[in-house]
Amino acid sequence: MNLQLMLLVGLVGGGASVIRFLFSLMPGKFPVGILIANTLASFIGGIASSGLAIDPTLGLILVSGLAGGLSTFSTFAAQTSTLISQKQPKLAWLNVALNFGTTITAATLGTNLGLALLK
Amino acid sequence: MPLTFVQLALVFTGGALGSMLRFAVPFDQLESLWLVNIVGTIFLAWVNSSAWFSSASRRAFWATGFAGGFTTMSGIAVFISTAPESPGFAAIQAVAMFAVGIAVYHLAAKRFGSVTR
Repeated sequence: MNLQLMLLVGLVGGGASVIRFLFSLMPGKFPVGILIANTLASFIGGIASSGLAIDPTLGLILVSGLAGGLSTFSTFAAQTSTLISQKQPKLAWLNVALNFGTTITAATLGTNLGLALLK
Repeated sequence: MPLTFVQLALVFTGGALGSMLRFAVPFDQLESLWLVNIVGTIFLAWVNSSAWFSSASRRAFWATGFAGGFTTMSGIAVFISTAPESPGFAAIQAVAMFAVGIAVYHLAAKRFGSVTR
């Protein structure tokens, strides 16, 4: 395990967590802030993962630190569970569907964009 | 509650710790995703249910920072988008992780809530 790389992932991940926290403060019944953070992180992760072949160290910092720190699965699960507990099944399903659809679409777009930039 | 520098610093520190711990998980991509996301979700359920974590500073560090930084949604999305040879298998894994994660949070929050409150 490369300790220096791990510390860099931590520094970038900490900064990305602060940005995610600021997104999470967006008001409303629907947790749109975390949806935006997860989608943006997936796009960044897609671009960075396609660039891993060029600079593996920078790629790992961007994928694990920036994209990993900006996105969250636990908060998504907590917010969906809370919507279910609040008898808001439509919003819960919408949260699941949007987090599934937008993150995968964003990661695919990012990966394709990254590969196109490499050509 | 107004944002404070201390609150942001706690989110940063917790997020850095969670990100480093996730980075150090020594399994392959899929096993790591399952481990960090399910363990991190159970941890968040405990944090959200426990009276000890009810202060804003502890929540900023452990819930928003640590649990948020330890778990990852982008990892799932990148796993699916970079698995062109088996997109169906990757999508099934993601759907299963979503279902298990939400169910585990729901059950764990009830369990921990009944113990600590």
